[in-house]
Amino acid sequence: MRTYFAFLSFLLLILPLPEVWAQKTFTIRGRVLDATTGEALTGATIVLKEKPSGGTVADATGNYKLFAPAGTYTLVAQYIGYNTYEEQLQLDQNIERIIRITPAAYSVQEVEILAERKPPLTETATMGELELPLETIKNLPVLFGETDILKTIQLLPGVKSGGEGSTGFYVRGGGADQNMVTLDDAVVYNPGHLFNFFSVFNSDALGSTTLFKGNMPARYGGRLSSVLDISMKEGDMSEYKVNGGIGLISSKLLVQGPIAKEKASFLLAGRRTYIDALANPFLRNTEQGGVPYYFYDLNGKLSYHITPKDKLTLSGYYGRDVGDLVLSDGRFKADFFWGNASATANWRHTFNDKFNLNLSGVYSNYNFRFGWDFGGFNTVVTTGVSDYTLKADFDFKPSANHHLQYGALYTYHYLQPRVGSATNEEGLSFDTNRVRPKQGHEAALYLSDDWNITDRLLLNVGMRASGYVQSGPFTLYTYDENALATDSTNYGSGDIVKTYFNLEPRLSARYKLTETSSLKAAFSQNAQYLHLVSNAYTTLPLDVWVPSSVLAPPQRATQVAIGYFESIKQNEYEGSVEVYYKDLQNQLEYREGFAPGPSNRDLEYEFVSGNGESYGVELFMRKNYGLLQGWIGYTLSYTDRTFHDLNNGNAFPARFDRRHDASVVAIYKYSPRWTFGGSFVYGTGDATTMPVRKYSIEGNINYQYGSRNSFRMEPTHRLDLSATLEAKPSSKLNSSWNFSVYNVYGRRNPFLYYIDNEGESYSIDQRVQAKKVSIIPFPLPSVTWNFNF
Amino acid sequence: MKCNYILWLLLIMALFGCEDDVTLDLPAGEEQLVVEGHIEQGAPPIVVVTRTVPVFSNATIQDRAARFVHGAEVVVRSGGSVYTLQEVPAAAFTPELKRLLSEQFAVPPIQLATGSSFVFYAYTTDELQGEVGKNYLLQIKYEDQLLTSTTTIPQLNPLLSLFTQPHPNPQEDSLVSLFYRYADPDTLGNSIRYFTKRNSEPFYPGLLSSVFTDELINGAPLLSFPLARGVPQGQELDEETAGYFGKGDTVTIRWAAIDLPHYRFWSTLEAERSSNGSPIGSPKITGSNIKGGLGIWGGYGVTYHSMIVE
Repeated sequence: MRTYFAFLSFLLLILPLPEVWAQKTFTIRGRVLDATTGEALTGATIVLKEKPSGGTVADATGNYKLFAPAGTYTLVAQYIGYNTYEEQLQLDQNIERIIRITPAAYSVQEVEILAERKPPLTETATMGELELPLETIKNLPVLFGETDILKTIQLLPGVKSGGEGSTGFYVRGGGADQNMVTLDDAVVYNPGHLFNFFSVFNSDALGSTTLFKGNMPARYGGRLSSVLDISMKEGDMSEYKVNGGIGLISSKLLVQGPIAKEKASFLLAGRRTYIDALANPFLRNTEQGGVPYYFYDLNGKLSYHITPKDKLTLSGYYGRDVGDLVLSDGRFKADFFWGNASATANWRHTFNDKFNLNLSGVYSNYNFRFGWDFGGFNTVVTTGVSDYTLKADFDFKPSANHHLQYGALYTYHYLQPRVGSATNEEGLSFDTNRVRPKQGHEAALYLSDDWNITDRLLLNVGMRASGYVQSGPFTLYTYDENALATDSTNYGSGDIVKTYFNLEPRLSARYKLTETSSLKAAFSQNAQYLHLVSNAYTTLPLDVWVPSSVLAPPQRATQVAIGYFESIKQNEYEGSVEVYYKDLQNQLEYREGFAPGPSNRDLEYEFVSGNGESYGVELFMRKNYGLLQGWIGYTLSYTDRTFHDLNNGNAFPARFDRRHDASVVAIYKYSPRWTFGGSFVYGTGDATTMPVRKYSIEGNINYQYGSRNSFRMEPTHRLDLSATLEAKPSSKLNSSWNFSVYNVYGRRNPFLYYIDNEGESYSIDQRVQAKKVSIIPFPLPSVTWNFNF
Repeated sequence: MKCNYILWLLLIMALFGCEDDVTLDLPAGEEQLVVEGHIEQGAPPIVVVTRTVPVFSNATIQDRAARFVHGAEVVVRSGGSVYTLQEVPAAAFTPELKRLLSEQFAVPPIQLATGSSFVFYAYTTDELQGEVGKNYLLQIKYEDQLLTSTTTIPQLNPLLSLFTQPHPNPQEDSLVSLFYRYADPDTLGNSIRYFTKRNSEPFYPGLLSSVFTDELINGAPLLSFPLARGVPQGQELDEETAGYFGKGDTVTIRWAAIDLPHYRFWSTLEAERSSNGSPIGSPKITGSNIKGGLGIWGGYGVTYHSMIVE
């Protein structure tokens, strides 16, 4: 594989290949500004009337850049609430234009809820890509007063919620571990606090968020189903700002400002829950002595424009869930923590208008630790992941018709499986000495081109080559049917144990049927080298990530999708219909009869491997502008798995196979001060395995189970509402109140069913009763006060 | 060494959750035969054969009687000999058989008392007595079904001694925690199932978790760990006294060496029972060492240990 990489690296080095695409093209660049205030108009659209497919959107500082072959054009700039700008241009050299546009006589800007105008979905070649405007999210109803990006994406078609109140999600029939969630390029291995009721993302500190539901561009890889690419906000370059929020169970504060005006800035944000501090005085005399649990997050970012062409950013995240516990009069004492930490250093260098480089060094870590004292033993269980990544991403626009992206990535993975050790006062100690950390090297090279073949036809062609090397130290055991090791093979430090290599082609195309409608098609293959297998009802902090190894081959997926996209009234409305089919290989599940518990062998020995498929149709209709905004999403889908060693080899529905999944989201700006939001979700119930018969062992009831996931839980649905009241603006302080009610009509959605039994052994009054467990089965109000100055 | 380190998660989920009784329409499933059979040293094999019934089927005395499988051909093979077991109804149980059913199958002695209306059938034979270190193959033929299994009576693996420690709450000064001292043989796979008896009560399997294996403690020269007092299944647990013994109690421990498949049966059964209905955790299904059916064919290598709590 090394030679293959060397060859591909060479290919990358000889890029760019400017001559190949060297038609005579010129650049039009500049800024779009408010003519009266000089403010940058982020999101303004700039387009050449004669070449509409090459349009662009002004960035956060109002800058824009267009490419076109020599010719005569009409430059058009538009921004909602502003008069349209038009200018005739003779393009025979690079041109710079500062565009100043004036607010329209009756400005509708104050009713803008979405801050930015997005390029219409009809324009891009990608499929299954959605960018989430954070302003929208902030007006949506929330649980416990916490705006949450992970809960908002669950409202999109093709994305299914991981359960009531949960931040977990499933995309197009893929498992929970097939979603890559990144914060400034750092993989977040456990994006949930408090058993996923909260995400680890403090929404105040977030910049942009983009979700790819498969068919992701070649620069993304490492997961089969989706990438949620979240970037942290950058500090304000011109003035100091403070904003924060005080909620029922947590508060947050963000400070940002210039270090050197227009050159360097900082941003610091923190969030902490205080159930413990609030409840402790009332619980002081109880056995527990308080609610011994809290979590916190810290975000920080430094940005520095070294030269006009060089920008350095350093960002970091640190979050922990922390608690302790005392049970049975102190017979059992425990303390625990878990959380993510990450650091990203990024250098962005602009060679010229057409060519730039992003170089990043990323550290990402997840740790879980649970320790307890019982029976004279002090026991500690830990698990975790550490990643060290270097990546280089090049962006090159050799001509108006090509946009090349290429780069390379290397990650050193160090995975600490779930290990335990116990020691007693006499110094006796035991540990899971056969479960050792695993190390692996993941590398990828990619190249993609957005190729405007004609004004109607845009092609994105990409290839990603990825590989994974499992390296020692490692011991491979052979076990007999009693799980006793009969043989072992040792690999020394640095020895190569197993190598995997995958080619991941990505192809998507857009064909514009009319100015406002397009057809798209996409094909992609992905490989995944890290896996998390869980059969729990919800993902847990002690779930274990395992790497590909001689024991677990990489997961692979092939996805095809076609879709129709339409944009109406200058993209005030947009809608799409997408049909997809996804084939999944080397999926992992626990073997039949596996009972999790302390064990001295690697979890990989408990896995069985099989295949899966998912197909469906997704409808999406969004209203982007105006007093009323929102979207309607609906998904019809089928997802199943086939494992030789499960369910007698017969196909079975995946647990999150959800026939129908619908959501309606609306935000209404009632007045300058009042904004109302609401969301309604409906989903077919999860597939689960239930007992069908019973028998007796030692006079007590035991169960014989039906075929895997053959029982369908009742459908889930829920309505959430919110109201946001902006306080009267003052020169010093702006503030708003957010009132939310989660689960307005108190729907008791099923979280799980089980059969309960009672009655003494061998007695004739033993009874069984089916039970439904619901989480948050009542309307849950919350209020948050947000402020900024 | 077996610890439920996710018990505490339940507490947090309990803050937000609720439970409702519901009516579920579950399919009838396919009937399977269930074996519950044991053999220990110096005692005959005892095998109970029943069938599974739909989850919500009735549970009258007649219904429960109908779960027993009559007329099956039950044989045990060991050391080249074949022993055929005969079906015996409760009314014909000998005192020795009643003692074994109470110790090995947790049948309450009161149910086995003369004149009880208790309906129970067991297959057994006088011709075979279990011996330490031997293998026993079980074969059951019923109609067109064939069920097979093997088990061993492992070498005896007694604990070293019993001792007590005070209840962690000083106010509970009449209660004590029972501990055992144990030296694990230097071979992997030693497993134990224990039962406790307080004064004249019957033996009950250990509370919540009655089995352990030496996967993590293999060869430990001297280990001490608590033994929780067993209680009758299906009774409400009293938080204050569950698992503890009282001062003045005569404590007897039935300490049974078992093989690994036998260990896995109880370990998965107890995992299924303790996680049933818990939103944290995962569905668990009781395993079986019976090919062609459900249940257990398990040998016990038993030693008894007593102490009077002072």
